[in-house]
Amino acid sequence: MTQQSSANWTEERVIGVLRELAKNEELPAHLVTGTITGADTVETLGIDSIGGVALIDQLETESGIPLPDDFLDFDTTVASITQQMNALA
Amino acid sequence: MNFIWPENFRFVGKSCPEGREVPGRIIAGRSALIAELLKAQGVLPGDRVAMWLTEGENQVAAMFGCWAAGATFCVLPSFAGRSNTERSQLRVDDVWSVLQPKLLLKGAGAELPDVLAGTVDVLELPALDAEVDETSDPDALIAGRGPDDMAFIQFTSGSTGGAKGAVVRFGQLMANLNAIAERTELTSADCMVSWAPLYHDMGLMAVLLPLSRGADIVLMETDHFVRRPTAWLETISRFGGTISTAPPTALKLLSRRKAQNIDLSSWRYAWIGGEMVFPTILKGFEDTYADAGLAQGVLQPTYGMAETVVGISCGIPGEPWSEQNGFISCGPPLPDMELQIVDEAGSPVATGTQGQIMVRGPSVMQGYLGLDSFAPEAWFDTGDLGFETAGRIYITGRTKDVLKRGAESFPATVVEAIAEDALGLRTGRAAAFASQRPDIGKEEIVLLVESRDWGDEQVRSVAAAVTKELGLQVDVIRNVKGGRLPRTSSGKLMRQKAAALYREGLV
Repeated sequence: MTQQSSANWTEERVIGVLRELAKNEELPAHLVTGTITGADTVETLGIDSIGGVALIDQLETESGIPLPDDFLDFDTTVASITQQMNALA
Repeated sequence: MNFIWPENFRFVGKSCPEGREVPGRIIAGRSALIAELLKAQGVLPGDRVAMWLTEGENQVAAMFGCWAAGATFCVLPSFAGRSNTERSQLRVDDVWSVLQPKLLLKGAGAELPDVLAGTVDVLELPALDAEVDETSDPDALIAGRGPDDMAFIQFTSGSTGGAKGAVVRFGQLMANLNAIAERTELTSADCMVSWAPLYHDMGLMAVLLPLSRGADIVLMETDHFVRRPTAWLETISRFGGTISTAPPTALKLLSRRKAQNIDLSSWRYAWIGGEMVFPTILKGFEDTYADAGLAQGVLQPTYGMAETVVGISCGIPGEPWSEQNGFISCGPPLPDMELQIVDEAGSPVATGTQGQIMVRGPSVMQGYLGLDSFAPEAWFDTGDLGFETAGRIYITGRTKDVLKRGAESFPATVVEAIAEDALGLRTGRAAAFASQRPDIGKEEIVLLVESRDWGDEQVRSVAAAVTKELGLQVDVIRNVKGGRLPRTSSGKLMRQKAAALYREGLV
């Protein structure tokens, strides 16, 4: 994946991480091209706790920021991931 | 029949990542207190008690407390608290109808999930700091329990989705614990570190196995691992853990997300099981943690199930795992465990030939709760496929319609019903199955759906519904044309055939 600045997270960037993980078969295949919006939650995207760990790990790798244990829950939205990433940067 | 209690139990969680020591005499005292409370609530020998407990101290104390009261415990399966849907309620009701518990135990101040609330009489345990009799004798807690007495009930995911409670008796429990202790060369010098949930056979084994030899125990809250997987390896490093257990998924996660500044040189036996083990996962984990002192021969793929208490076969300490045709050795059968690989007609197959795995031995259960018993000498059909070579067992797949992810089992029929409901389809329009992917080291979960109305919206609604109800991620959701799902002449869905067609790219 392309390394970008740790700050300046947008929903598009988070969605890009989700799509990349889906391409790598760590998240459901439908996320490669399917609709993902800011209002989508971890649950509506069909991601379970194992997929959630992969997502957190990738976000940490891309941002260089250690994320808190309670960063992600089933009802966490793409928009709130974006906000949290910017707040933690 | 006895257990050897350690001087101290250690508990690790988010609130105490450094670990909290609780003397064994306090846990024993708490067990005795729980036994008295159970008796006061009218629990009689032979009654069954359900447990919905999250704190390690309560879990261990309640297990022995139930035994001291003459009762049989059942740690409720995870789906009991997953969601508050009508289907979840039906599944819990199904468990209640089979288990018929006298009481449900919960921790002080704990809130029960809606699906559990109001269904069974509840006993709230005293707070963890409640005063107990520290002179209670741990041996007295199971005194008088014989080999034919029920020790616990483990619910398994039957392929039809109906609740099936595997009955484990003390004789079977001790036989399996002794066999595993012998194979793993467990001694009182060992230290078990476990985060596996107690509703899972591996989690229960992780508590009882060290007690069978007086080894130390460090219990991590499962949720602590889920939120921070590296905490598992940090805990092994901190406490000098020598033995631990995990599904391959955990190894995969931790190969991706490497724990830092740890020393795993104390770790001598990793019991890897609960789902299919692929070589790529073990290799990746060994490579990732070689510089942390993880030695070759520590990772030991194992094979077993709740119906055999937990273990059927496991690797020999220090012997590096081996591979045949892309499948991995799960070691020789445990002492006293007999294995037979048979063809569809029930005839034994030649060495190295795939067939259905049958087992028998002193730790194989003799029946599910409320269903007919098997004769002790009868072969038990595991529902798994595999072959045997040079005395080692290799697992290649399964005939039962169960999906596994992260060592949790999900009936295919339940996943299909959720998908059909989400799309308003008739029963039989969806097929869920696992497809082995040795290249990425996992069993891919696939859902094929026959629906005329299909698009992004339908895929999303199915994916979301399955995750909401089961906490399960479906890897691939695909539409197939009407009539393409294979069925028998009587119309019964053929999931294994569907899986074969999927792998060949024909659906």
